[in-house]
Amino acid sequence: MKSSTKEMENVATLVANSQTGGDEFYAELQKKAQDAVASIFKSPLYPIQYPSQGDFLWNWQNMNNDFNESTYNYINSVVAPGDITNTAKLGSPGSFPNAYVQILNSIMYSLNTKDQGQLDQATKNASTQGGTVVSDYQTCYGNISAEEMEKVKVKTKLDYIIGYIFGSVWSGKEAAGESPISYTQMTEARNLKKLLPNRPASSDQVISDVSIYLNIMSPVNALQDALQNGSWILTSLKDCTEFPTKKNGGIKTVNPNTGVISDKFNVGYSINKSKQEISNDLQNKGRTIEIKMETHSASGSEMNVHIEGQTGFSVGSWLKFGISGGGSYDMSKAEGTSTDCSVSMKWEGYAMIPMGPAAWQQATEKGWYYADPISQAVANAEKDISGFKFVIKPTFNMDTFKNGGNFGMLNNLLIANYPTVEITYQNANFKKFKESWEEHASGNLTLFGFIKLGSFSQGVYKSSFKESSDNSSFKVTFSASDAIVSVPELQQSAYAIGGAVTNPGA
Amino acid sequence: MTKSIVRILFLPLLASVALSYQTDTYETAQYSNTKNDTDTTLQPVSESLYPILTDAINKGIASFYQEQITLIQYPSQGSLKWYYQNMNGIFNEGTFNYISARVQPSEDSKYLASLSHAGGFPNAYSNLLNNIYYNTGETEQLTDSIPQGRWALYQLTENTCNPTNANGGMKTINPNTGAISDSFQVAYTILNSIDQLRTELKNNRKSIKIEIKINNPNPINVQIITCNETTTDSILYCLPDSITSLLLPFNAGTMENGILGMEYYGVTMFNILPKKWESESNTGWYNGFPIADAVKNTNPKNKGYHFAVTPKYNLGLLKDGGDFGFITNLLICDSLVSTFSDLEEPVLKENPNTLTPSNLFRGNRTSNENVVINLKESIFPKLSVPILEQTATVIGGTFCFPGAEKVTP
Repeated sequence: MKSSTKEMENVATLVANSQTGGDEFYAELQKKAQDAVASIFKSPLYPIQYPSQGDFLWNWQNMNNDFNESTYNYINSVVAPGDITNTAKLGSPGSFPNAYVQILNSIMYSLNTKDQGQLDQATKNASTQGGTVVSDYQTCYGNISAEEMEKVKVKTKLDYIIGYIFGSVWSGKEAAGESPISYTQMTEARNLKKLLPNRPASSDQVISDVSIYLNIMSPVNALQDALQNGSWILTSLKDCTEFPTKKNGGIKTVNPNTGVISDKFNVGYSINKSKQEISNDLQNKGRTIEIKMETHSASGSEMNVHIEGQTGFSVGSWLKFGISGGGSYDMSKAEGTSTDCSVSMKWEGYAMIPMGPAAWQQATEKGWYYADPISQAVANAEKDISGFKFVIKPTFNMDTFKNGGNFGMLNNLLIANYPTVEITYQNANFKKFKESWEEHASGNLTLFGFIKLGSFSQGVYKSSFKESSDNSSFKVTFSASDAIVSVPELQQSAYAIGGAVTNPGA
Repeated sequence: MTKSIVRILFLPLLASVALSYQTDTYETAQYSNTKNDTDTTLQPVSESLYPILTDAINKGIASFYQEQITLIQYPSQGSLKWYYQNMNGIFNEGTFNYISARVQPSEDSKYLASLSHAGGFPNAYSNLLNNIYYNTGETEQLTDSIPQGRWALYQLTENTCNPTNANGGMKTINPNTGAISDSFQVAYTILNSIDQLRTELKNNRKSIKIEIKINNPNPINVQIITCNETTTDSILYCLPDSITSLLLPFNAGTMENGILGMEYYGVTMFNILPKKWESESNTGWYNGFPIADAVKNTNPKNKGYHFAVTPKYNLGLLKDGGDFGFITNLLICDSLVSTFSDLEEPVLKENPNTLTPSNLFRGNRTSNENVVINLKESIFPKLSVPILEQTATVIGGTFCFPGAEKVTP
C-alpha cells in the first residue's frame, strides 16, 4: 500500500514535470486574450487544451448551407476544466448532446409532499370516476402499457388518457407540433368535444367520463397543469434531442475532406457570425495578441524560461519544430542555436465566434437545448419542492466551470491566425545554424513538450532566418506555411485561443 | 496564475453637472446621487471599471435618450442582427434569438446582465402561465360565466404556447439560409424603422467618447464627450478605502496612471416590445399582470392570480437577483474603439504591456503604443456581409422584470 502511494506520487510528479510551463503560458495567454476583447466581451475566457479534434475549422458551412462536420465536432463537445489551472479541455465529438440526454433521462417533474397530498386527496375523491375513465377507454382502445406511459413521462393511466390522449392526440396539438391543451382548459371548456377535433369515432362515452372527472378534480387543476407542462417539456426535449429531424431543427453535416453530406440529421448547432465577418476579422492583422518570453541557460542541460518578465521556471527544452517528413529540431539545442534568446509569439488577426446549440422553443417545439429544467433540478436537489428533480443523481459536477463544473459547453470561441513565432538568439553561431537548417521544411511547433501551436499533416509552419550584425546573433521566424494557407475552403483552420463556457446546471 | 491585485483605492469623486438616476437600474449607479453643477462631494465607487463605465455611458446618452442602461455580457447569440426583417416583413430569426433571451444576473460581475439562450423569455413565461390559476373569490363563484380573469389567462396561455397567424404569431426567416419557418413564433415588435437604424449606425457624429483618466493619487477623472466634440460632463470618482489602483475587468491588471478611452460611434437605441395581448382582438401574447398579481397574492384565498407551485425563477428586479426579465431596449453602435495612453511610467503595476488597444469588431491598432484609432471602417466591411447577418455591437440594455412590475390588468 505504501509503495503504491509512493508510485502514485511519482506519477503525479512526472505528470507535473511533463507540463512545466503550462501554468505560466496559459495564464499569460488568458490574460492577453481577455485584454484584447474586454471592451465587448465581459466574460472569462479559458485557454483550450489542444483537443483530439485538432484546430478549429472556421469556415463552418458549404455553399449549400450544410454544416462543416469538423466544426460541428469541435463545438458539440462537453467542456471540462483542463489539466492545467484555468484551462478548459474538450470531450470527444458529440459528448455534450450525449451527456445532455443522459441528464434529461434522470430528471422528472414532481410535486412536493403538500401539493401531492392535495392532489392525492382530490384524486381519491374522484377515484371511482377515474376508474370509469380508464375502464371505458381501455374497453374501446385497448390496454395502456407501461412503455406507452413511460414514453410520455406520465405515472398513471388516467394521466395518460387525459394529459396525453386528450391533451395532445385528440386535440390535434401533437400533429400540429404544438403544446397540449391543459387540464384547466378542458375543465373550463363549455363543450369539451370542440377542443378535440381529432377524437376517434365512439369516443363520446370516454369524453363524457372525463368531463365528469375533471369537474370533480377542478380544485387541483392548476397542479395538474404544472405536472402536465413539466412532463411535456421533458418529453419534447428528449424527443428533439434523440430524434432530430428537419422539422424539429435538426441539421445535416458535410465532411470537409470528402464533401459527403450525412444521411441522417443531427441535433442543431449554430455559429452566430457570418463567414464573411469571421474572414474580415481574421484579415484584420492590425489586431494582435502577443506573448514575449526570454530563455537563459540554467544548471545542467536545463534552461530558465521567463514569460513576460515573470518569475522563471526550468525546462529541458522549450520549443520543438517537428518536420512533416520526420525528424525535429529542438530550438535550444539545434546546431548553431543557443539557450539565450528572446521570443515573441504574435497572433495577428483574431475573431470571436459566438456559437450554441439550437435552443428549444416552446412555441414551435424546435431546437433541443433548454437549460432551465436542469438548473432547476440542480437547485431543487433533494428538497421537498414541486418542480424538476433528479431521480438519479447525475455523474457530472453540475456547478459553474470556475467551481470545477464538468458539464459545460462553449458559448464563444476566440480564434486567431496561427501565431508568428520570432526567436532572436544571442551567444549563438549563425554559420553553423545556416549549414544545418532545412530552410524549406514545413512542420509543427510544440511548446514545452506538450503545448501544440497547431497541427497539420503537411505542417502548419515554415521558417525563415536573418543574420544580425555579427555571427553570434540571428533571428528565426516561424509563420504559417504555404500549405496551410492554400487548403480547400472547408478545411481552413485557425488557432483556438480560448473559449467561454456555459454550464447548464449552474 | 498569480494575481496580487486586490488593493482598494480611496480617491475622490466630483460631479460637475446634474446627475439623476433611477434606483432600479441595477447596481451600476449605486454611487450616484442627484447632484448640481457646484456639487464637489467626492463619493467612493467600486474598484471595478464597470460601474464607472456604465455611469459614464448613461451620462453620455442622456442628451439622446432617457433610458439608463446596464452593460450586457457578450452572449452565445453574438452581436445583434439589427436588420430585423426582410423585404417582405418576415422577422429575422437571428434578431429574434437575441431579443427573446431571458435576462438574468451575470455569474461574473454584479455590474453586468447576462442573457439566456434564444427563446428563454417566452419559454419561462409559458412555464409560469402554466403554473398560475385564477381564484374567483366568493362572489364570482356564483355566476355561470367564465370569469374574465380566468378567460384572460387561458387566452394568454394559448397564444403563448400555440401562436398562429390569427392570434398574432409571426414567422421568422433564417438569416443564413433564407428559409422561412413552417411554424409560428410569438411575435416581437421593433419600433425603429430599418432606414432609421441604418442612418443612425452610419452616423459617426452620433458618438460617445469616454476618457477615464487615472492619475493616482488624484481622483479618477472621467470625461464624457458626445457628438461635435462637446464635453458634456466631467466626473471625478474616488475609490474606497485603501485602494490605490483601478481593477480592470477579468484580472487584466490594475491601473494607477493612465487614460482608458472608450469611443462608441453610430450610437442608437433599438426599441423592443413583445407583442402585447389585446383582449378585444385576442391577439398578442404578453401581459405581465397575472405574474405580478400572483407574486403579490400571497394569501391563496385572495381573489386574483396565484401560483399553483412556488415558481423557480426569482421574480424580483435584476439588482435583487431577479432572473425573469426581458429586453426592452438595446443601446447599440456601429463600432467601438478602446484606447489606452499612459500618463507616466509605470503605467500598469504588473505588466506594462497588459492593456493593449482592443476592439472586438472594428477599428485597427495602428501603433504599438498609446493612442490607436482607426474609425474608417463602417458597417460595410471588406467582404460584404449579407444584410440579414449584419451586426451591431451591443453596449447595454434596459429590461423589464414582470414579477416586479406595478401593473394593472
